[in-house]
Amino acid sequence: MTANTRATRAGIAALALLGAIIILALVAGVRVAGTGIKIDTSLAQALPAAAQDPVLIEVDRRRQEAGAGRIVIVIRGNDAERASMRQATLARVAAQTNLSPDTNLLRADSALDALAAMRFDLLAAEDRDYLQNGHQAVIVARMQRTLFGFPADPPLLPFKDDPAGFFAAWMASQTGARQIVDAGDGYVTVRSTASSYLADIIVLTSTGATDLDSLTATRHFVAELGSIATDTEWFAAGIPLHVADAVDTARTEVTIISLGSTIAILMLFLTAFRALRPLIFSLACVLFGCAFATVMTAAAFDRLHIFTLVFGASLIGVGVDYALHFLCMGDKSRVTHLRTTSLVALGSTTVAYGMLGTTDMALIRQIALFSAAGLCACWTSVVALYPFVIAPRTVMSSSTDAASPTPLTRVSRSMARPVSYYLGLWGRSSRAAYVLTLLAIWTVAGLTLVNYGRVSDDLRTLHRPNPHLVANDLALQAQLSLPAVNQYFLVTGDNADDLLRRMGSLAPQLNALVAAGAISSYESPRDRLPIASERAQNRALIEAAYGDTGWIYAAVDLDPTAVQQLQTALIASPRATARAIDEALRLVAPDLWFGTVNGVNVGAIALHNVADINALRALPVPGRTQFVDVPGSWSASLAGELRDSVGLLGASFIVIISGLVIWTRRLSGAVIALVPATSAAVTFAALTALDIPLTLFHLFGAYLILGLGLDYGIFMWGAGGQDNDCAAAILLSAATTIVSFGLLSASATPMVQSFGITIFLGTVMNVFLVPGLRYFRGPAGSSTDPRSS
Amino acid sequence: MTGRRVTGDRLTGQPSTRALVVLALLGGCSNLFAATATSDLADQIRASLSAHPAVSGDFTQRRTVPGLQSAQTSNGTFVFVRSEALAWSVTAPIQSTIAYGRRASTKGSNSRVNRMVLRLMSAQILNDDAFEKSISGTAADWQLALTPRVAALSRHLTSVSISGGDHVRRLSIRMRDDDVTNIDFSNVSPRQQLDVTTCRLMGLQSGVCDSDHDSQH
Repeated sequence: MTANTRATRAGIAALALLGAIIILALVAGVRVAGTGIKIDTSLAQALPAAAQDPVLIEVDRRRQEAGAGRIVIVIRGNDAERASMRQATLARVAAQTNLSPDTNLLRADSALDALAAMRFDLLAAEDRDYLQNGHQAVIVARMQRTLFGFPADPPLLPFKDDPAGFFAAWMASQTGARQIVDAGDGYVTVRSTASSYLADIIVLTSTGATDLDSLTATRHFVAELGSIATDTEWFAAGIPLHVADAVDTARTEVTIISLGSTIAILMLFLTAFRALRPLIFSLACVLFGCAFATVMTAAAFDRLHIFTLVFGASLIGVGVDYALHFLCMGDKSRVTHLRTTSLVALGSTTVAYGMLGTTDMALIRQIALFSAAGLCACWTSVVALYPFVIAPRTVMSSSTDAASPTPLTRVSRSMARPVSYYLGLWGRSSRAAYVLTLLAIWTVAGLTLVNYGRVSDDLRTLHRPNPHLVANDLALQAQLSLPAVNQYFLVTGDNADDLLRRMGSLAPQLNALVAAGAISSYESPRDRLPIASERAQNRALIEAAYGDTGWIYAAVDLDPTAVQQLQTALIASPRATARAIDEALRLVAPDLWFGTVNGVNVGAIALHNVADINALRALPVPGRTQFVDVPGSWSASLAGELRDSVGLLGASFIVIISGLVIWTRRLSGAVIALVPATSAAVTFAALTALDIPLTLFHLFGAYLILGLGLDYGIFMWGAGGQDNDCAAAILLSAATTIVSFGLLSASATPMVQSFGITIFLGTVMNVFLVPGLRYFRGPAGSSTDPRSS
Repeated sequence: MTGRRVTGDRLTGQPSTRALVVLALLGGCSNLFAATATSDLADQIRASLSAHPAVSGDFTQRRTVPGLQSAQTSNGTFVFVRSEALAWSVTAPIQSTIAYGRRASTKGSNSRVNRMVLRLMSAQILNDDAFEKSISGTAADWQLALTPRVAALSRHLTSVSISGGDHVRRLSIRMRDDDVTNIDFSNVSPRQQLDVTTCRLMGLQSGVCDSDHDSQH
C-alpha cells in the first residue's frame, strides 16, 4: 500500500468520523431542542454537596431553593403615603415580570385555620400560670376589656367560640417583635417597626431565578426600580441579585477580554500568515468542538453550568494547536505523520481531561465531558477538513516557490527570526545541563511550595460579591432581624412531638450562647407549639373553663345555645396529634419545619447575628442534633474535591507517561510529560511567592497546562526537535494562549483570575522548556522515531 | 386601669379593621377624602376634620355580640392626635385606658394598626379600591359608608358607616359574624396641648406634647 493510498484512506476515515460526530450531535441536538439548554449560574449549584448526610442534603436543597429565588425590596421613607404608593406601583411592575409573590409566606389563612382547629390545646404561658394559680379574675378582666374596650382587634374567632380569649392570647404570645405579614394587596408586605421610618417590604420569588433568562428579567426589573421609586428610599436584596450582578460582571469582562484577545490573536495570525483564512479555519474548528461539546453535555446532564462553558471552552481551545500545526506544515508528506502526532496529543490531553470525569462533583464531571468531547470533535474537524480548506494550496505548493507564496512560506518568512531564536534556546546547552536545570527548578519550586504553599478551600476566595449588594443584605437583616441563612441547628425526631422535645432540650445551650454573645437570639419551632404533655395540661385547664361546670359561665352572660355549642365543640375537638402539630408547623414555620424527610421528622433552629462560629461548632449538642455551617461544609467538601483533583492529576500523569513511553518506544519519552509537570510546579511556586493561596481553579488551570504542554512536547518530539514549522506552530499557539489567558488574569472574578494567571504562567514555562526535549530524542528518521512508524 | 395593649400577630396577617376606621375618621378623614377631591362635600369634611391637631371627647359604645344574651354598653373618654395616636379610656362598667399608636405600643406589636391607619388615610388606599365608598348629606350632617373590596378586609368586616358634622358623631362597624359595634361621640372639642400623662401614654413628645404645660381636658 502506497503512502498516497494510506493518506487517502486516512482522509476518508477522518471524514467518516466527522460525519459520525455530526450525526451524533444532531441526535443529541434533537433531544435538547425540546426543552432548550438551561444554563445555571449560581455558585451554589457549582459546588459539591455540602454534606454526605442525605437528610441534610435534602434540607439544604430545600433551603437553597427557597432562598435562591427570593428578592426582597424595601421601600422606606417618613412619608407613609408616598412609600405605600410606590409599593403598589412596584407590585404592578413586578406582576409583568416572572416575579411572583413568595408563596412560602402566603399561608396565613391556612395557618390560622390549622391552629384554630387545635385551639383547646393551646394556652399562652401567662394564661397557664394564671389558671394554675387560681387567678381566673385576670382572664375575666381581659374578657371585659374585649367587650367594653376600644374595638382594636378583629376577633380571630367569634366571641362565642373563644369567650375567654385563650386562643387570641396564645396568638398574641406568638407575635414577634420584628414583622407583620399582610397579604392584602396580593403581595406579601412586611413592615418593620425596628426603625423610626416606615419600611414597606415586598418579598418576591422568581421561579428558576438562577436561570439566565430569569436573571435577565430580574435585572431589568431591579433596573427599573430606580425610575419608579425616585421619591422614596429603596433597596433590593436577595441571592438572585448577586447572581445577576456576577453574570453582568462576567459578561462585561468576557466582552472586554474577548475583544482584546481577538484583536491580539487576529494581529498574530495576520502577522504570521498574512491571510485571514488560517484564522477562520482555526476558530471554526474550535467553535465546532464547542458546539458539539455543548449539545452532548446538555444531553447528558439536562442542564449546563456557566462555569462549564467558560472553563470547558478554554480547555477545548487547545484544539487550536492541531490547526496551527497543519497550517504551519510545509511538506505534504508530513500529513500522515501529523495526523498520528496530533492523535497522540489528543489522546494524552483527553486522558487528562477525562480523568476529571471520575470526581463526585457534577460540575467537574460536566467540564470533563465537555472538554473531552469538544477536543475530539475539534481534532476530527481539523484532520478531516484540512485538506479541503487549506491543504491543497499549502501542501501542494513547494515551500521554496517564491513566486507563489503559500501560508507555509509566509509563516517561514515572518517568523523565521523568532523560530530561530526559539529553537536555539537550549542550543548551547546539553542534555545534562537541561536535566540539571529541571532538577534545580523542581528543587526551588518544591521548597517554596513545602515551606510557604497555602491551599485555600474558603468559598469567599472564589467569589467577590458586590459591596453595594452586601450592604443591602446587611441592612435588610438588621431591619428585619432576619436569622443567619447559612448557619443553623438541624434536629431530627421520630415524630413532631419527639422533634419538638429534642429542640426544647437544646434551649439551655442556646441560651448560654446568647448570654455569651455568640448569637443575639434564636428561633425554634419549639417556641411555637407545645409538646404533648403541655397540650394535655392546657386541655385540662381549658376544660375547667369551658366544660359543663366551667367557671367562665359565671363571668359572662352567654346564651344557652352558645354554651351548648362551645361545650359540644370542646368534646368533639380531637386532642392535637403529632401529625396535626407537624402540619400546623409546616404552615406556621415553613422555613424551620420540613416535615418528614427520608423517614424522619426534620426541623431547624435559626440563629440571629452569629458572632462566634467556633462557639457554635464547639457546642455540645444532644443526640440527633447537629450544627450546620453551610459555607464551612462547602469548604470542607471543596477541600476534598481539591485533594481528589490533585490525585487525579497525578494519575493522569502516570497514564500519560505510560502512553508516551509506548509511543516513543523509549523510557526517555516520559520526559515529554515532565515539561508540563515542571511548568505546573513552577506556576504554583510563583503563585505561592506572590502570596496567592492555591484553589481548585488553579488546579483546573494545571490541567490545561498539562494539555498544552503535552501538545507542544508531542509535536516537538514528533518533529524531531528541530523543525521550524513545528516551532512556529508552537510559538503561535503559545502566543495566542498567553494573550488570552493573560487578559483573563486581569479579571475581577477571583475564579477566572486564578484560571487565567495559572495558564499564563504555565504556558510561558511550557514554551521555555519544550525545545530542550531534543536532547532526549534520537535523530529524526531513526528506528525510534515515531514519524517513521 | 392604665396599660398598653399588644395587638396584632405575624401569623394571621389580619388588619385591625375597626381600629383603623375609628382612628382614621376621628381625625384623619381629611386625607382619605383628599383622594376623592371630586366631591365638594369631601373637601368640606376634610377642612373641618383637619382643622385641629388633636381632639378629645366622650363616647358611648354599644356592642352586640352573637352568643351573648344582651348588648354590652360602655362609656368613657378619648383623646385622638391626628396621624399619631389614640388614648381610649373606658370608665364604665369597667375602668381601662389603652393607648394606640406608632410609639405608644410595645415595639412592633401593633404595627398592623399603624400601617393600615396610615394606608387608610392615604390616597394610595383609595387608589387600591380597598373600600367601596359612598358619601352623602351636607357639611353639617354627612354620612360615609365603606364596604371592603379586598379579601383581607372582607374576611372579617362587612361594612363601616360613619356620620358627623364638624366632628365625627357616630361610628358603626359590622363584622362578618354579625358582631356589631356602635360608638356615639359627644362633647368633642379641639385640643392644642395634652397633659403629660396622656403624652407619655401615647409616647408623644412633639406637636401637641411639645410643652410641659398641661392643658385641661
